[in-house]
Amino acid sequence: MAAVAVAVTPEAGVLLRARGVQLGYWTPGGFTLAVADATFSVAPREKVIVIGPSGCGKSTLLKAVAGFIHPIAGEIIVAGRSTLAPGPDRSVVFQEFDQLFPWRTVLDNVAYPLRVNGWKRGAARDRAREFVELTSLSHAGDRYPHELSGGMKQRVAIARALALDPAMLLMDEPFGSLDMLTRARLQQELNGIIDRTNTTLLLVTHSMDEALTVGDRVVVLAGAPSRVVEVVDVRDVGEPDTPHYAEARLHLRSLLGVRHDREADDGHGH
Amino acid sequence: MQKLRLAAVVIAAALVATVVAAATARGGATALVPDKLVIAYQPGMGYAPLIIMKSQRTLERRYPGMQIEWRVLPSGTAITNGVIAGQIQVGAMGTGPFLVGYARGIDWKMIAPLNEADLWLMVKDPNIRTLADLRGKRIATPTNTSIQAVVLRKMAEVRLGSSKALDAGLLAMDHPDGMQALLAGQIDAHFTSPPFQFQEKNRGARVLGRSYGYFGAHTFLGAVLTSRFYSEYTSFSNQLYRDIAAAIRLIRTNPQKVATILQQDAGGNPTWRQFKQWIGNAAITYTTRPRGLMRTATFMNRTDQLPGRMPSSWTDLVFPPVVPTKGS
Amino acid sequence: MLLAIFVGAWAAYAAWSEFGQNDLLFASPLETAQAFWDGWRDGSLADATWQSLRILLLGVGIGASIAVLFTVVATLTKVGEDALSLLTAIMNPLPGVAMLPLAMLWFGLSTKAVLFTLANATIWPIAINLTSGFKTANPTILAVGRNIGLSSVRLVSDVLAPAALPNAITGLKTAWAFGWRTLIAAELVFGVVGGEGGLGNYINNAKLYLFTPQMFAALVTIALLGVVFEYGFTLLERRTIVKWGMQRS
Repeated sequence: MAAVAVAVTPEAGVLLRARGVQLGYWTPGGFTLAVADATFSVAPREKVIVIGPSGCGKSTLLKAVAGFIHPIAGEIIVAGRSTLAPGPDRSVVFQEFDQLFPWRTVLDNVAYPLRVNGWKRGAARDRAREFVELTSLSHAGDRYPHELSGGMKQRVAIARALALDPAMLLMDEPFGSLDMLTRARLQQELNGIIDRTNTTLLLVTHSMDEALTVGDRVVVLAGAPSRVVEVVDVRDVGEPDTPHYAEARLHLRSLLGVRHDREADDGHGH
Repeated sequence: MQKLRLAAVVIAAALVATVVAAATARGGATALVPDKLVIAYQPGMGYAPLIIMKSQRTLERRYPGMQIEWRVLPSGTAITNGVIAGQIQVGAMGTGPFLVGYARGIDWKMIAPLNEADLWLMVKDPNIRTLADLRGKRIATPTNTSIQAVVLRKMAEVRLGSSKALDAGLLAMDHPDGMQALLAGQIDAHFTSPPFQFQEKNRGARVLGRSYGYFGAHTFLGAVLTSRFYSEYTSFSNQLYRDIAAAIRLIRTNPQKVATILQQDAGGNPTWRQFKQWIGNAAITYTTRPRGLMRTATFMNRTDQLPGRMPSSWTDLVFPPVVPTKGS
Repeated sequence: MLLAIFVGAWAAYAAWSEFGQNDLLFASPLETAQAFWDGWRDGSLADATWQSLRILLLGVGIGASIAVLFTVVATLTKVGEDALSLLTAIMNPLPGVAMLPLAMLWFGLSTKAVLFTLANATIWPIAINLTSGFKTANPTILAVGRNIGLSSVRLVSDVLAPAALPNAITGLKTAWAFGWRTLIAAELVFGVVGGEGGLGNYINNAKLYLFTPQMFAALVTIALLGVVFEYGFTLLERRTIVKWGMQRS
C-alpha cells in the first residue's frame, strides 16, 4: 500500500522535482508503460502546465504527483518529501463535475475538508466563505451541488482546493467538460485567483490555448510511451491575438506532432 | 354525469355478484335426505364413534345414492368456519368452540355428544408443583377457545383468584405438537386430552390438575348440526343420532373390534393393544348423554369467554333425540 | 373518489349478497368502521399495533446492523465479499416466514424465534442494496476523500456511507416491507408472541371468537399502517436524497 514518505533535503527554489519518472499500469494483457521518462521541476508560485495528446499519460503523471499511484522508476519530490500518499498539501481539482459531495452545501463542501484537517468549526466556516467569495459564488453558498451549473461546480472545487492552503494546486483537465465560453471565462478567473493567493499550480490539459493563457512554463509530453520533449517558457506570450502568441502556439503544435488543422481543444466539449 | 354512470356500473356489478352468490347456494331440494353430506371431525380417539361409522360404512350403506365425504380437519375453528360457510353439514368438535359459536349466533346444536372425558393438565418440570408455579409460564392448549383453555381459566379463578391469571402464557398447539414440546421441555404445561395425556404420563409427565375436579364429569366432544339442516332433514338427523349411539354401544360391547378399527384408521400406529387400553381408561367414557354443558356455559359467560347469547338451559344446546338422556 | 366507489361496492355486497349478509363471514363497511373505532378507543388495536411495531423495529434494527457489518467486511476483504455473495444468493430467495419453523425449533416458542425470522428476512435486502451502493459509489469523490486526508475509517463513514444512502434507503424500504409481512404471518402462525399479541394475534383471536368485524378492522389497520410507512419513507427521501439530487429512478 502507501509507502512511507521519505524526507530528503529540500531544494532551494524548487517545490516539485520529477526525475526520470516512469509510470505504467497492469492490464489483462500485461504491463503497459504510459510514461517512459518525465523530468521537470516546478518552482514556488510558478504555474506549470503539462500538455500532451490524449492518452499520453499526463493525467497519470498528475495522479502520481498527487500520490494516488507510485512511479515504477524515478522519483517525485515535493517540498523535500518523496514517495507520497494523497494529502491536502497537494489538493486536486478533477475533471469530473461530480467531485463535490452531493449531500453538502457549497459552503460545507469547502468547509468540511478544513474541519477534517483540524480547523475549528467557526474558523473553517469563515475561511470557506472567503474562498467562496473569491470564486464568485457567494450567492450560491447554501445551494446543493445538483443545483449548480458545470462551471459553478468547478469553481466550488477550486475554492475547496485552495482553501486548504496547499503547497501545490493540482488540476486535471478541470475545464475539459465545459463549453468554450465558460472555459475561457474560468481560465481568466483562475489566473486572477492564483495570482491573488500566490498558489503554485500544476495543471494538465490538452488545450494549447489553455496552456498559453494560464501557464508560466509548459511541459510538453509526447510519444508513446511518452517523455518530456521540451519545457517551453511562455511567461511573456501576451494576448491571443499577438504574433508572439501565435509563434508560441505553432511551436507547441510542432512539438505535439499534431497533423490536422483542427485540434482536440476546438470547443467540442467532452 | 361521469360519476353517476360509474356508480351505476358499480351497483350493477354488486347486484350481479349477489345473484351469482344466491345461485351457487344450496339449491333447496325438498327431499328427506340430503344429496350430499360432508362430515368433519378432528384427529383423536375421542372421535371413535364417527371413525367406527366411517369404517363400517354405516351411512354409505343406508343411503346408497348419497354423496358422503368424511373430512379430518385440524381444529374446531376450522370446522366452525366450514359449517358457517355451508361446506360442512355435520361437524365434530369440543364443547368450547361449540359454545362460542352458539354465543356468536350460529344457529346450531349438538345432534349427539360423543363422549365425556377428564382432561388433564400435564407438567414435566419437577419444580412446578402447584398452579401458582405456572404463573408467567408457557401453557399449551389446543386453542384459546378450547374446553381445555376454559378449564384452565376455571382453575385459575379457583386457585389463583382470577380467571385471567394464566392467560398471558397461553399458547395454541395441536395435541401432538404440544406433547412433543412438553416432553422436550419447550413448554411448561400441556392441557390436553386422551390419549395424549396417557402417553405423556407414561413418558414421565405428572398430572397437575384434572377437569373433572372443576366441572364435574363433563362432555368433551360432540357432533353438531345447524337448526336449518335439522328442520330440513329431521328424520335423517334423528337416524344419525341413533347411528352414533349404536357405534358407542359397540365400544362398550366389543372393545377389541373397536380397537382394531382405530388402529387401522390410524395407519397401524398406535396399535390395537394401546387403543384397547385407552378405551378402557376411566378418564374417557363414550356416551350420548351431555353433562356439564350449562356449568361450562355459565362459567364462560361470567368470565367474558362467551361473547353473545347465553343458553338458558342445556336443552337449548341439543336436538330432540338427545333430550331424553337427561343431561345437564 | 375511487375510494368512495370501492366502499360503496363493499357495502352493497355486504347488504345484498348471501355471503355478504352472513355476519360471521363478512363485515360491512359500517360494522368494520365501528369495530375499528371501538378497537382504538378501548386500546386493544393500539396495543396490538404497538406490539407488532415494537418487534418489527427491533427485528429490522437487528437485521440492518448485521447487514451493515456483513457489508463492511465484504467491502474490506475478498473472502468477505465472496462469502456474502454466496450467502445472499442462497438466503435472499427464501421467504421470511419459511425460516419460522426452524427458528421455533432452535429458539423455542419465544420472541427470539420471531426476531430471528425477522432478522433473516431483513438482512439480505439491505446487504444486497448496501453492497451495490458501495460498489457504485462515485470513485471521484472517493479520490477527493483521500486527497483531503480522510483516514480509511472516515472515508467509509463520511464518504462511502452517504454516497450509498439511496441504495441504503431502497434496501431499508424493502427490508421493512418484507419484515412487516413476515411478522404478521409469523404472528398468525405462532399465536402469542412474547406475552402479548401483535396485530396478527389480534386477527387470530378475532377469528377464534368469530368477531369478523374486528378481523376486518385489523386488516384495515394493517393497510393504513402500510400507507403510513410509505409516507414515512417518502418523507425521509425528500429530506435526504431528493434534497441532494441523489435520487435514482
